[in-house]
Amino acid sequence: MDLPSWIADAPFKFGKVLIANRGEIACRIIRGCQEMGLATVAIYNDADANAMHVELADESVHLEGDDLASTYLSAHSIINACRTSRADALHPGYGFLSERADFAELVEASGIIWIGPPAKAIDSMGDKVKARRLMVDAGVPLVPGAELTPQDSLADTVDELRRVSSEVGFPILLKASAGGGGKGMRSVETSGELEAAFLSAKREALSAFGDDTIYLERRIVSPRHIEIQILCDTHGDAIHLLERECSIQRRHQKVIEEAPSVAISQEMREQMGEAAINAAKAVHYVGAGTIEFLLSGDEFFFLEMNTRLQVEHPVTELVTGVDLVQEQLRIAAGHPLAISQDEVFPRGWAIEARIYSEDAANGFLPAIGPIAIFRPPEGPGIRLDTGVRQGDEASIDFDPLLAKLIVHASDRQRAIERMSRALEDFIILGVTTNIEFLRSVITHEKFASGDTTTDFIESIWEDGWQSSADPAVAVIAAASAEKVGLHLGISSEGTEDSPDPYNPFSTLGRRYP
Amino acid sequence: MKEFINQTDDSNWAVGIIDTSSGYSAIKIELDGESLDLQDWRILIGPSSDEVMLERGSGEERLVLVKVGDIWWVHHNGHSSRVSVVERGAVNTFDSMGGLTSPMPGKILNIMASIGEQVDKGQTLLILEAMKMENRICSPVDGIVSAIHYEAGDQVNQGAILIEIEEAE
Repeated sequence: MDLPSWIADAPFKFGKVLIANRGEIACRIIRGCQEMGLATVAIYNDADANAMHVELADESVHLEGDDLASTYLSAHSIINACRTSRADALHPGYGFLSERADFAELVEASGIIWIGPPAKAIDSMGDKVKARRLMVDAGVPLVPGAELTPQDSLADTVDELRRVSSEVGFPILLKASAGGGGKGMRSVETSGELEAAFLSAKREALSAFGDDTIYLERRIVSPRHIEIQILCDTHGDAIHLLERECSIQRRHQKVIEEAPSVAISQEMREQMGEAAINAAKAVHYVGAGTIEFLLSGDEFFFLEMNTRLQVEHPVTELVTGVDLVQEQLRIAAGHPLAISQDEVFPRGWAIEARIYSEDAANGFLPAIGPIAIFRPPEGPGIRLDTGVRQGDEASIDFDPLLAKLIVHASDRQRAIERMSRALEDFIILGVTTNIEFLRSVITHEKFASGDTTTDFIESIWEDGWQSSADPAVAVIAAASAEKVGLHLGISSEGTEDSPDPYNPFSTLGRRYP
Repeated sequence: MKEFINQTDDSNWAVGIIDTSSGYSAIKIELDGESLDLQDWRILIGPSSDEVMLERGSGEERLVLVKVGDIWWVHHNGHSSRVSVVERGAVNTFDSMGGLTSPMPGKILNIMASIGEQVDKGQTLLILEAMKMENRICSPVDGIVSAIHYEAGDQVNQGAILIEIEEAE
C-alpha cells in the first residue's frame, strides 16, 4: 500500500485508521483522515447498520452484540476489527473507550498506533483524585476540595462524608473520580441532603464508569467555565490554542461554547495557557488535550484535564485555523508541531450550539423518535458536524447529541446574529430537539452582554423554559394538511410495499434502506 | 368539527373545514369553545409535499410539516410544535385519569412513594434511568398515591402509566 507523502518518511507510519466511535465525531474524524489520504474503517452495531459514519468510511466492520458493552465498549471486539480490516492505527474519538488507559495500552501492545495520549497520561488525568495531587505539584491552582478515606461500612462512610464536607464547606459538589459529562455529579447545598445525593452519585458513577469513587469539591458560585486547548508532540514541544468558554450548561453538560471568551484578557490568556502547558507536561502528554478551569473574578482553578478530542473542538479550529484532527494524525506519526505559539492568535469569533434530541420544556429529558425531516441551515460562516441524516432515528441506545451547529464571523455580535439566523432556519421534525431553546439562549440580552456563567440557564429559566410557538398557526396548518391528506399523498409513494404503521416517512426519507 | 391538541402548550382546539363552490375551503376554528377571528388568514397547501404557505396581513410565511403516527410536527419561524388529532371520546392522560406516565423508555431505579401516601406537588416519586442519566419523576399535584404499577428494576415503555395519584380537593 502506498502511503501519502506526508507520512511516507514519518517515524511512525500508518495508512488505515479505524475509528472506534460513532455519530458526528466518527464522521468528523473520517473526513479528516480522508483529506490526508488515509483509508478509514468504521465499526457499527446492529442499530447502526445504516448509520452515517458507516456510509462515510471506506470500509466497516460489524460488531456482534446486543448492548454497548459488547460492541462500542468492547476492547476485544475492536482490536479484532482492526485485525480483520488490517487497520494500523486507531482513533478513539470522545466518550466510549477514549479515556481508558487499559484500552490505549492494549491497542499499542497489539501493534496498532494509538491516535491519542500515552496510557499513563490518561490514567493520571482520568483519576480525578490522582490528577488533583499532580496539579498541586505542578503549581496549577486548584478548587478547594478533599478525598474520602475508604471505610469498612456504609455508616462509617457517611460519617466520613459528613466530617470531610464540614471541612470543605458548603455548597459542595460531589464528583465521580472517574467522571465526566456531569455523570455521577451532585450539588449539595446543606448537610441534610448529603447522604441521599452521595448514594445517588455513587450509583450513577458505578453504572456509567464502573467505579463509584466519589470526592468532594467546594462549589464555586456562578463561575465561568473556561478551557484551554493544547497540542503536544512526541518531541516534548507543547503549545496552547487559546481558550474556549463553555459556561452555558444544563445538568452540568455544555450546550453552547464559544471562542475566544469575553472574560479573558491577553494577560490572563497567557497565564492560563502557561498553567495548561504545565499541567500537560506534568503527565508527559502527547496529542490534543484540554485543560478545564473555573474562572471566578480574575481567579482561575484547575477543574480537570480531558485527554481526548473535545465535542466543542470546532470553535477552536475556526478561530485558530488549525485542524485538530489532522494535527492529531501528524503528531501520532511522530511529526513535530507544524505551528509555533506565536503563530496562534484568534481570528474572529466562533460559537457552537449542540443540537440534542431532548425536551427543553420538560426538564431537558431525552427525546426519541424518527428524524422525519432534517434540514440544516446553509450560508457563509456555517459549519455543521452531524452524525444523522433525514430518515435516521434518535434512539434510546445512544447519547442524545444529534449534531453540532458552528458559526464563524468577524466578531461576537455578528457570530450571535449568524447563529440566531441559522437556528431559526434549522428544521428537525419527528423528534423533539432543543433548537428553539438554543435560540432563546443565543438571543438573550445576558448572552449578548457576555454575562455568561455556569448557572445561566437555571437562573434565567427558574421555573423551566417554554416554547413561544404560535399555537393557532400550528393547529390551522395541521388541520389543513390533515383535511387535504398531505400525509397520505406522501406515504402512498413510499410505503406500499413496506407497511410500517409507525412512521411512513422513515422508509421514504432513508437514503440507504 | 375535528378536535386537535397542540401538545406544545396543551391547548384544545376544534377545527371545521367546509368545501365551498369557489374552490377554496372555509376554516372555522375554536379554542376551548370560543371562535377565533382569522378572517385575513389564508392557507395554501404546498408547493412541496411537506409545506404549507400561510398568508396573513401583508406577509407570506412558509411552514414545514410532517405527520408521524398520529402527530403533526409543524415548523414555523424557528418554532416546532406537535399537534395531535383526537378522535372524539378519547381521553387525555394525566388531567382526567390521575396517571403519571413515563416520559421515555427506561428502567425504574427506585420508587420513593407507597400506596396511600400523601404526596406534595414537586415531590420525587420515582427515579427513572434512561440514556445513562437518572431522571426524577415528580408529582404534578398535591394528592394521595392510589396505585403503583411497577417495581424497582422494571423496564418501562414511553407512555406507560407508572403511578396514579388522586388529586387533593
